[in-house]
Amino acid sequence: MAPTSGATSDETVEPLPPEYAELSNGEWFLVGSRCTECGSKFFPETLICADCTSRAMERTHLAREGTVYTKTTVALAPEGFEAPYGIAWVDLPDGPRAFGQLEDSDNVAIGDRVVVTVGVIRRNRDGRAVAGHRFRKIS
Amino acid sequence: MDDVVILGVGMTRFTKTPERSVADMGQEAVLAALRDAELERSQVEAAWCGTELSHPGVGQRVLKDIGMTGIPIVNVENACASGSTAVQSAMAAIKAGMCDIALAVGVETLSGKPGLITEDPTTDVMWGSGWLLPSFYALLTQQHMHRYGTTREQMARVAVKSHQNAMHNPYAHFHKLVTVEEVLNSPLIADPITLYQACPTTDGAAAAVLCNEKTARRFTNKPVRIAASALTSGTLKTRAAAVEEMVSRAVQKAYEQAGLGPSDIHVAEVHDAFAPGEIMAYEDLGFCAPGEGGEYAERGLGEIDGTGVPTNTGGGLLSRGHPLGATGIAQLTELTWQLRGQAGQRQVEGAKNAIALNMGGTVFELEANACMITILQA
Repeated sequence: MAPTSGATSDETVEPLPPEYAELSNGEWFLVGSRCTECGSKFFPETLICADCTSRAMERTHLAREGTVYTKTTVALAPEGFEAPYGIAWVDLPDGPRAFGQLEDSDNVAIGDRVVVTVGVIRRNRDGRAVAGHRFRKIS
Repeated sequence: MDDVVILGVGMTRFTKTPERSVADMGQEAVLAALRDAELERSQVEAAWCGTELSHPGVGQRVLKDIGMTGIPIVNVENACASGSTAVQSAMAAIKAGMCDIALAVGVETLSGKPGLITEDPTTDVMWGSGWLLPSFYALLTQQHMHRYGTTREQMARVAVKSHQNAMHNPYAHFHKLVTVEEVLNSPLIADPITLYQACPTTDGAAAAVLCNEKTARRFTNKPVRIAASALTSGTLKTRAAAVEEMVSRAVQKAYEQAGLGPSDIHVAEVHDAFAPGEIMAYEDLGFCAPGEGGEYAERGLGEIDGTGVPTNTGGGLLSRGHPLGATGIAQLTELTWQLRGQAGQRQVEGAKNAIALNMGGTVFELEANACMITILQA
């Protein structure tokens, strides 16, 4: 599954891989950190635990599904982004409140259940597409 | 310990002046504050300069051409709360006995810079996902609308009032009335925030001269006392259990310092970089209960002749303009004029206690970088 959703059909450059998500058994997971001392989980990855300051952090896959805490649709986009696009804070059952773009933002409401997916979220100055994690409503 | 007072204030008109340098604008504000305080330049013993985006050494650049270097000069960056943080730093030095008379100046030139202030999306994860300052506020606002039923019309009322108040402020960026319909129909930035609910791109500077109360008696019969100054930083909002409480913590601390409560406040300046910010400020400052800020706006309680606390009498960030580092001191300038009875047609009669709420935010993993609450007393 290539992260090409949102790329134009004549895209010749493969999008940069998403930084904060990875594919496992055909499903996208957010990549975060788990503190091996106290168990707290963070998104995105962090070198140090904000709860106990331990550096014994391990990479971990976070829950795929969460609940929208709040969302908005951005209509005036900065360079590299294509408006309108949705963004949200999503509460994950294992602790973090994760940021990310929303698919089909107009049809997502606060309190909706969403699942992690991946698509093109912006373009670099050279025009190259950048893939990133997004959230999609579970219908 | 001696209290610290504001001896003099001054500011440039807030407007777009791309031909003027930061130093030029800062000098105008500093000299205006010194005139207002009836002080000579040589009587200032130390200076703090607040700025968010200007180059390093900006305080030295402001003061060198008016012969005011030689004294300790410290540059302060605390996002959009840099100006009020400069005031607090000056106050703390006076309280510590390091000096008797100190200057705080805030400066920013934004015209010529992009309208949307951004970090580098390739190095900052949140900005790289499409977060911007308007969308940061829009996310807070959507949660407020969801929880309390706050309406778009209520937010538009804040922008309408701000433009009304600015009509009587010669220092304000806008001198133009808008209607609720015009606010709602202006271009969308980040739902529900429209263009007229967002502060403009503004250049400006503001300055305040501070001293201890004992020294003040030699200079003025009308000192404005800093009754409280409380600063907080935000905690991580990247946790599902996170609560927004940095503002209420600062507010509670400030009321305790001053020995005052919300019902004692006669006039307020709050951080309406985006209109919903004022609705949340009504609640955070205790002018109404949580969730009732929208109704407070709708009923016009924050208007100059309203029955609540007149808020943003100078036009607020929305209509006076928001030159980032200057804003915190511009708020205190407006409140000083109010407490001295010098606010002209926008005067709140008999105002004795005033409160300012100044926010700064660029680190989006936090509630915000900084929240400063200042209480001034005539």
